[in-house]
Amino acid sequence: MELLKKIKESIYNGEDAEVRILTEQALADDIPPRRILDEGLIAGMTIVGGKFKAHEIFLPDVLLAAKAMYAGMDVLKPHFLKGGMPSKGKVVLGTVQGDLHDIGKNLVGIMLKGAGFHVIDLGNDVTPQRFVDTAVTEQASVIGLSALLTTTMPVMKQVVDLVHDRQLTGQIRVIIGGAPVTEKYARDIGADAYGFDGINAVECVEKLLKQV
Amino acid sequence: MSTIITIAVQDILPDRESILRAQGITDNGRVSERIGGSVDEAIGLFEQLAKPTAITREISAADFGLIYHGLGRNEQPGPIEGVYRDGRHLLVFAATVGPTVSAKISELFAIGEFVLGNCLDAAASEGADRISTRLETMFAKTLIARGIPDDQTVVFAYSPGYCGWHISAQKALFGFLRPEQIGITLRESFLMEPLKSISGALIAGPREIHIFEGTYPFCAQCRTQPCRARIDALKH
Repeated sequence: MELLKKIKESIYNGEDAEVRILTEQALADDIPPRRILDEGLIAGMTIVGGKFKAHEIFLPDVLLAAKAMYAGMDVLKPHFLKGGMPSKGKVVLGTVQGDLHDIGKNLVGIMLKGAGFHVIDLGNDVTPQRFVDTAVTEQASVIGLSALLTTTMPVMKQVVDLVHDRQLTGQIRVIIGGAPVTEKYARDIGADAYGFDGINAVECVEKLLKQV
Repeated sequence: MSTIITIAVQDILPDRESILRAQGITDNGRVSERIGGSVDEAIGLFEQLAKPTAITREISAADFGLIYHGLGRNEQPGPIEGVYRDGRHLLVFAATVGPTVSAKISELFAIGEFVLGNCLDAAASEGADRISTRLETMFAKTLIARGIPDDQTVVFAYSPGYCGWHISAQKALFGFLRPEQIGITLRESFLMEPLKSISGALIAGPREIHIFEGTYPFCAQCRTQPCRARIDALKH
């Protein structure tokens, strides 16, 4: 469908005003909102993710595309009445207790939303209890943890341990990331995944949700 | 006695290339007019909002040793021990670009201005780093003005969190320097607030004291390796 193809292209080009207009037009043409979301907006962001991974485009291009996608989602939201906007899954995201760095976490959140996930961003300086309580309350399948200091990384293990202690292992998966964090550290503390950048985090979350 | 220094923002203004590099765009990368415009706007915002301030205090090598060893969590061995023991003049510092820049970054992300927010974050990080370069120059000039020979005045900054110096050492550094006087505080997690703040020591001496190989175990974990370029410059 030509209109959905144009939406995809406009996402890729980061044209948020154009995406808004095209999404409105698609609705006016009676294209189902779910189809616009899946075959227009998310499909466009999927192309963006692939191009970024191949180093053909860079982070600012991805952010422009994400902004364009949000413009389209704002138009679609009122059209999903029952149950709200469909999503691939819920992710509780935050920077761990004692840490206030949030740029990396914000970028991951942006890309997860762009990929069609429902992100509950708890902000920064988040306690292990709040991560797990929120995941339970919101019925989220994934907790994403960010830390930028070696002194705050140990909080990540506290979250993993709390998930285990509350017998939620397997029901809630934990992915971690941040400058000092490594894949080895993720394995050592029993986390389910390690994301080295925003796009990789999306791939990891998609894989994790297939396991839940 | 501590000295409080107000630094002209123009002296630490980041350039376009460094902001693009922070976002993965190297010299050969394509930059659209739109993204280039955001970079320029970020530099303008940084210039408008940043209030760079530093606090410094000279210190003996022996007293610095107490700060350096801090809570005993440094990597062993590490290069800084050799650097400071051979250093002729030392000074500890803390500096910040101020809280307003970080607040603006958060605001931009909250309203969906992701590119500008990310560019401003990169600009602020680069600006904060440039404060230490500025302080190096200022300290070198101070020493030369005192009649210290040029070859004794190669000044490099070293910061907790790098080169095996654990960030918990900031507790001792803060105890000595009291950067609260310029609005920098330290959390229990050893995170400085405002976020775009730096701390460390300036160590002056002959160039040889600053030369070490990047073969320590922790070097492999260091993503930026800022030491290599400046050490290479000393060797040539």
